[in-house]
Amino acid sequence: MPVELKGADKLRKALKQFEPDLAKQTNKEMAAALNPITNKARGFMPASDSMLSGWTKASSSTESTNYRHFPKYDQTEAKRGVKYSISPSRPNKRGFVSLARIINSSAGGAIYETSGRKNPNGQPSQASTRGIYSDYIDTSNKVNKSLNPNAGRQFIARANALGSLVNARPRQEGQVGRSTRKMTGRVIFRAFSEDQGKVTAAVVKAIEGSADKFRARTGVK
Amino acid sequence: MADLKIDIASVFSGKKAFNDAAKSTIGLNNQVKTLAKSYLGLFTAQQLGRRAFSAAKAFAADDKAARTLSKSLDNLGLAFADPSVRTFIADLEKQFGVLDDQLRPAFQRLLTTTGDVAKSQSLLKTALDLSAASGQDVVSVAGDLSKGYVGQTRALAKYGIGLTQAQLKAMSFEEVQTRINDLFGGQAQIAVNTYAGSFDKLTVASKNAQETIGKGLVDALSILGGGGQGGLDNIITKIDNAANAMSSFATNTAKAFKLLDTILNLQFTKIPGIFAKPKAKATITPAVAAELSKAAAEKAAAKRAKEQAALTKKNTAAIKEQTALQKAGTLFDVEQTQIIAALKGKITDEERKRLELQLAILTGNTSEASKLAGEIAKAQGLTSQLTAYLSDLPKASNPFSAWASYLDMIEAQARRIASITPKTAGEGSPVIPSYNGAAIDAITSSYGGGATSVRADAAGNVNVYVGGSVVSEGDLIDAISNGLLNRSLSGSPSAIGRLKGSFAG
Repeated sequence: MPVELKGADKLRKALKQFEPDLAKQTNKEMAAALNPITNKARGFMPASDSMLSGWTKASSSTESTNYRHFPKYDQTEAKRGVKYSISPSRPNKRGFVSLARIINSSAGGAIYETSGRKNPNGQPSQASTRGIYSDYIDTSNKVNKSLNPNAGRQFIARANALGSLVNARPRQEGQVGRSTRKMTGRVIFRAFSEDQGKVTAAVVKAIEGSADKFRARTGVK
Repeated sequence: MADLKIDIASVFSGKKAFNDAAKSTIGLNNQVKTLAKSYLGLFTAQQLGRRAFSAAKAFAADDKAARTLSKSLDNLGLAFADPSVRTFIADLEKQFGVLDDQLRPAFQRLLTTTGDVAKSQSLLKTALDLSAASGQDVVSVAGDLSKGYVGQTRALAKYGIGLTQAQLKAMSFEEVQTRINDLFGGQAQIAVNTYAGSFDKLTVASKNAQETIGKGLVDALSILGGGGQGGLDNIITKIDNAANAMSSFATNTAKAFKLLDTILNLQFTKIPGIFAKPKAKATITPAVAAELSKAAAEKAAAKRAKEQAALTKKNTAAIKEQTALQKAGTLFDVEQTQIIAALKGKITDEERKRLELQLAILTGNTSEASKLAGEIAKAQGLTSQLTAYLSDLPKASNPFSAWASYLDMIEAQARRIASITPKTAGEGSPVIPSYNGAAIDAITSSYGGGATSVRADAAGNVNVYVGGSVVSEGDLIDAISNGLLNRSLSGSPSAIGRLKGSFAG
């Protein structure tokens, strides 16, 4: 769970309205805190030629089909997709607005980030779930539809060889509720885990520092 | 694809959305209320109009039915019975809660079939009973009865009167009517005494009231038309005339406006200056000037007051904004942070309330603070009450209190036993309990004379000597086996009764 800062959105609005220079300084401090972890995460994106060759070559029929092909991996594009944002997001369904976040936005990068997170040995193949003589065709995305029944396992094995899955929020002792794998990944989550919470502290410190300065300047308590 | 992102810091903004939703709902509610009020007046007027029209219409229908029945009586040569029939129907209506709108057509059908007022009245009563029993309306039942009267009894079978078609055809109508009266007589009276019957009576009353009102309205219109038979015709003529007059008025008014417009155009275009504005003359006297200056001063004062009010409003808004900012600023206080951190820890309910109270006081949330203070005070009061209650509890009796005395007694007994010392040789011979010689003699005699002997030695030990030989179990078995074998060989075999479990040698 992200750190919840009550009133931080109002503070940022007030800063923008009354102390624009302070607002800029706050943004700069937040960016300075987020930049190292973002760069570190970009460094976890492997080179294109180290991936399985079939995943990096563009398909010849891409232009002639009307469905979305499985996204290809390109290191440059994947690195570009790893970024941070300090502009407030739209509220999510629970009413929380994100003030600072790190994003892995490219499709190929996201696949590398999360592959094997749910099924460590790949999705079961159609044949293994229904039998090879079954007429039933499972069109859902729950089964491996490749002709190679070991495709998923091989794909994940290569990804694991290049970078291991790291859970940025492992289950704590005595923690209640269900565990989640939503914070597990090879790129941004790994970087966040290795950061040991320093970026969170730096962002919070930047916001609180700006609040202190705002109070000092305006006399508002 | 789910967003792959790590939220470093976030803020809860749900409250704003909830507030917006609440405001929108309240606004919508107010608008609907206003709309409802607006429509209420219009609706009331419309309803009054509709009610009046319905009343007049109901009266007209009732009047038509009554006139039709009267004409039927007249045609049958029974005009003399018209008043009695009216009374009869009015009485039935009141008695059974059935509208005359139904009774008249029913009676008319019976009357036209039978041609006899008394018979029709009798059959109408039967029809009412049958209607109450079967749930069919009285007009339909009267129709079926009138058919039955002329021999078409097929329709009567559906009322379940327990007669086959053949029986119905074979019986006369009087017999059938008697059968119906036997089966269903009094049903109408019972039905009218139920709640549904009471409701029907109320319906009859309201319908009659409606007809009365309708009659009043028609009479009123008739009076407006001059009264008498031709009153209503007169008012209709007058309404027609009024409509024509209004139409003519509208047409002529339009023509007049058109003419006036033409005239004005001519005046402005061809005779300029005729309607020119006269020049103002200097007629301001000192009194008028004083009044004018007074009015100007009042106007200026009003303007200043308005400006002052606007300034006050602006200041209030600024103060409000400042307060809001102060409130936002306080969210970052160290004390608050500590309290929030403490609230996230494992604490008791009372501690949580105390922390929340501190937080409410720090943030200036007076309503929450007073509420929490009340709860804490209540909790404290409850604690003190509990302490007082526990202190006032009577001392419970200890079930083990008596054990101490018992243990003391046991201890004393143990001490006494331990203190007993046997007498030594110097103190005299020890007391050895003597044996009961008679008992031992009895035992020895039971074994046969000479079998045992009992002696006591000098130390007082009793020795019992048993005569004969003592053998082991194996020797005994061998001896018995040999004995049995010898007996068998000597011609006296042993017999074992398996069923009886006996053994005979």
